[in-house]
Amino acid sequence: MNRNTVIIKSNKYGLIVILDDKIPFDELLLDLADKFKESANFFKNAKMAVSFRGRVMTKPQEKMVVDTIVNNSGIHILCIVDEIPEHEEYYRQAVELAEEKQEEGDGMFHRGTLRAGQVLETEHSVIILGDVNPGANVISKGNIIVLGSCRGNVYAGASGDRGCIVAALVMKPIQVRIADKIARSAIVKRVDTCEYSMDPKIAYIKDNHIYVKQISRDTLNDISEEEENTSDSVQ
Amino acid sequence: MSEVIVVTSGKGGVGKTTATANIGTGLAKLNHKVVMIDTDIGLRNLDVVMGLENRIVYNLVDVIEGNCRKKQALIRDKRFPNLYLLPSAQTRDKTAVTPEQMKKLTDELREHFDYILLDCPAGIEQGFKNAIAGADRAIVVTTPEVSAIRDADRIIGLLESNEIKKIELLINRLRMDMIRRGDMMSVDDVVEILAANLIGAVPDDEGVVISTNQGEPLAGEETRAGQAFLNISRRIIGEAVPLMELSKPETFFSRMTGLFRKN
Repeated sequence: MNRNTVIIKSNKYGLIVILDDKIPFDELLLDLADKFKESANFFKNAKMAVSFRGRVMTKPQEKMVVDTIVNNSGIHILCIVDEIPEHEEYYRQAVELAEEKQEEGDGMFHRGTLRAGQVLETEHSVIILGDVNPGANVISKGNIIVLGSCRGNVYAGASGDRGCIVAALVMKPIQVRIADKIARSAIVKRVDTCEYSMDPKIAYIKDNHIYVKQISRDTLNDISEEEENTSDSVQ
Repeated sequence: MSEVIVVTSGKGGVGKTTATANIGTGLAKLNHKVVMIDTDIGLRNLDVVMGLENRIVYNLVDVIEGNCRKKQALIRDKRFPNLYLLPSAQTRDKTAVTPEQMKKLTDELREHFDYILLDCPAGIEQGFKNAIAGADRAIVVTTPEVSAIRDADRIIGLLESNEIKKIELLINRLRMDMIRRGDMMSVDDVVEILAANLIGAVPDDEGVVISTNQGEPLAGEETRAGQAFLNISRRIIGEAVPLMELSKPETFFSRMTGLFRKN
């Protein structure tokens, strides 16, 4: 086994695989397998970008190389990079972009009621199939939808996104926060009696304030207009 | 099959000790062998409410530390031969016992008793954790007041995350006149907010204050609170007892019609 047919250079986020261009492809794959088997412990579960040098390959060939690498070590290859600057930063960005794409799936669902003292923190939008009781906290960088009654604290757009909304079938929160704005419920002088008739409402930012309105065609139009206005002003 | 039931609430002063004493008495009147354990170490008062204060020689901490046998510490109530009390210590605090020790104790007591009632202290710290350690089911006591309901909600959340599957609600000190005026939440309101099954509703009754001061539990007596507590004991053993009609004034006529009404 000729060790020099495959040379691996790596940094934290990227792998440069230098392949010999003279030996037949099948033999190269075998050498590749051996080389990566040796390094399996070193790279275990790393998420990396990869680029190839030294040998021009067709797409199917590239795919076979990637498969060989993945099968013989614990590396998760997120993408193949064409440019080859040996700059760690470049690879890091590539990896992060690929990771983001993977996670952008559907919103997160939470089944069950959130009771007093419980905190639900999510990166993405969340849909709660249950109630949010007084004393419970929901914090999301995205939108919050409660398919139940919302009577606790909800904070949408936690990283500053003013376009986020909070919606609930029964909207009686203690506090609603969207991005940097906050709105409180009036303290009800009579006891919080059980008038839990469904009254779906949505909270959103408009004209620099939080509006809480019933969900109707007009309100939804209002919201999408507001979104257009803000994105226009950014451009 | 023995059952270990913890009576808890979160908020203090809502009626856990009174409920434990009366439910225990009710179960004993229904001919079951019951032991009530006061797990409020340092501030014991189940013995006072039961009127057994002057018979305490050993207590819960003595049993756990091995200073005495269980039999020596258990106090048998002379009024109800099936009813026993394991009192708490007054000179120690809640760190004297660990949850594992409590679980071991309740497991040992299962062999001798049908029902083991644990009177939990207020709060969510060590005392609470000790009390729920060996429990199969929980009765959460609350009054229909906003502050008590917040705490009860928190407690139910903690019980659920400690995997206690059977959680039931006892609503205490209901005042029908205030409910009618809209100044107090009704039974339905509380059940709706807390989303738990109801094991019973006890009306506010002066007789309870008198009974706790005198050390004579009133479960099974003719008063409304007494009847309510006995109904709760009957529901615990599995009888289907309809909720007491609390809103009517107690005339002879309404008592008669109440008997035939289905809830």
